[in-house]
Amino acid sequence: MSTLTADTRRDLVLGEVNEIPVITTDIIYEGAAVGIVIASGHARPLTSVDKFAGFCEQKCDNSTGAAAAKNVRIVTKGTIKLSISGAVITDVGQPVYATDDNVFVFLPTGGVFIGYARRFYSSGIMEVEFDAIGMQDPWAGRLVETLSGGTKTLDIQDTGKVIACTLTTVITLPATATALDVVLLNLGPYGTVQISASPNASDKVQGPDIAGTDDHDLINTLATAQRGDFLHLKGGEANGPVVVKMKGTWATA
Amino acid sequence: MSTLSADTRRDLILGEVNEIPMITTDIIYEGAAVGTVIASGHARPLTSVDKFVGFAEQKCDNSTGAAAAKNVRVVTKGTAKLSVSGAVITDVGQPVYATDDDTFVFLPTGGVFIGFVKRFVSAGIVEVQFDSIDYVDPWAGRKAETLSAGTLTLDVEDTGKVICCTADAVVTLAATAVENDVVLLNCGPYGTVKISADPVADDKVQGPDIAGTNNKDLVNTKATAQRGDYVHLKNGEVNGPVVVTMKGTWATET
Repeated sequence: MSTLTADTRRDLVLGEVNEIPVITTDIIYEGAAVGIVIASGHARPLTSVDKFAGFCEQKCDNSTGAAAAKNVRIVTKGTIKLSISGAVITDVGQPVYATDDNVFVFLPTGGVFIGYARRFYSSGIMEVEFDAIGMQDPWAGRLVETLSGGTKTLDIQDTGKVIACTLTTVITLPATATALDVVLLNLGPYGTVQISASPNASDKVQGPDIAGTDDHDLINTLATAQRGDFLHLKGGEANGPVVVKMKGTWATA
Repeated sequence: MSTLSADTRRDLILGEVNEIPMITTDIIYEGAAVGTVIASGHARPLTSVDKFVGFAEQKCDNSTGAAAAKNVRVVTKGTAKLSVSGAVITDVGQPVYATDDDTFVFLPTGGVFIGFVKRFVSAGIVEVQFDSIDYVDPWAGRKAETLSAGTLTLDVEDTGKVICCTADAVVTLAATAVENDVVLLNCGPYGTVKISADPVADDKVQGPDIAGTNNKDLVNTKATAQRGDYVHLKNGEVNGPVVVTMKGTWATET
């Protein structure tokens, strides 16, 4: 190609729909979250290792067909009412993940990002705004690990992770020599989960206008803690880990 | 201005179109990717140093006019079928770049980000979803450098880069004392390009649940390597570079 020297009619495609060839011997039902198999580019009922492509507009029965014998028609962008385990009114704006074609959760662990909660409908039911092409998982590129115990001691193999906390937790940070890069993420409903980032005895956690104190935790204040509050920490500073980014109220104990 | 004390009628603009004044003595053809000159804010057929603003809806001939004598009308948001060099069916979701007003590629090097692949049509032809205001280049802020040779040794001047590998590559990492923040990006079609992040003899590459081994590479497994797989590495840890973020399957060589 080279620069244009004449008008060129581009095919501008209307609407927020797509058609993708389907894997062999499977059925994608209307309303299913649809995934793309990374190795083949073909569509199937979404699994946790796929790329989200949208929601199935009408059933596609390829149960007796070869791969790509049929295309599934999907809606790629829009707003959809979904059941999301544990959803409450303070969850508007939270990222939503699918673990299969009909299970939707706030936990990134083992899920595929699909969009953001837009409106609270009723307990466990929300409207979700999705854009399979344009929206990006806020935690893309990190390995997500769910922490359901009350304590965790980090080491260098926790670098690159998001530690997703679903209950009140004390997380012991490694000594300064360990230059890890980790995110502590609050996944409890508003006011229910406290995360304490606990430095080594001779370390403190410093951050934006946070002086820190040796051997004192940096704490996500329980009373105002919100699902999605996080603390992105980096090791390597002589006095202890430092905050790169944060959301919510965090204060030195 | 201060806070409102009365209703205020806002002009809410309809549609996904825009009009931008053109540079002097140039023609923007229908269908052209349109860029704005950063220094003047005027539109022209896109070049690699412009900001993408959309596709020209109709020809704008300002070949004899002064700057801003005419406005070009552009579609700012939508889906367009485009020729993208090397596109295959596994490329849905990949970012797409323009190197001029009619050349579209997957390599970020020397290109301007325009959108993401939405649908594979046929070899080299895809539908691209674009939104010139909202979409952000996933590698924005980094300098992209194409690596088509088999080896590269990183130094401190490679910090802040995306190394775009289009062929099997062994990338030798800087020693721990060298502060380095670099991304190794796989730009090959599915299953065709293997990237090896090779630490110096006394170092290992550690990451999320990756213990690493001294003098052993962290390798993007070729059989399942995908265009867009990457590893973001940072130095500073005493035992060698650590992974900050990654995509795809990466494992320490045995």
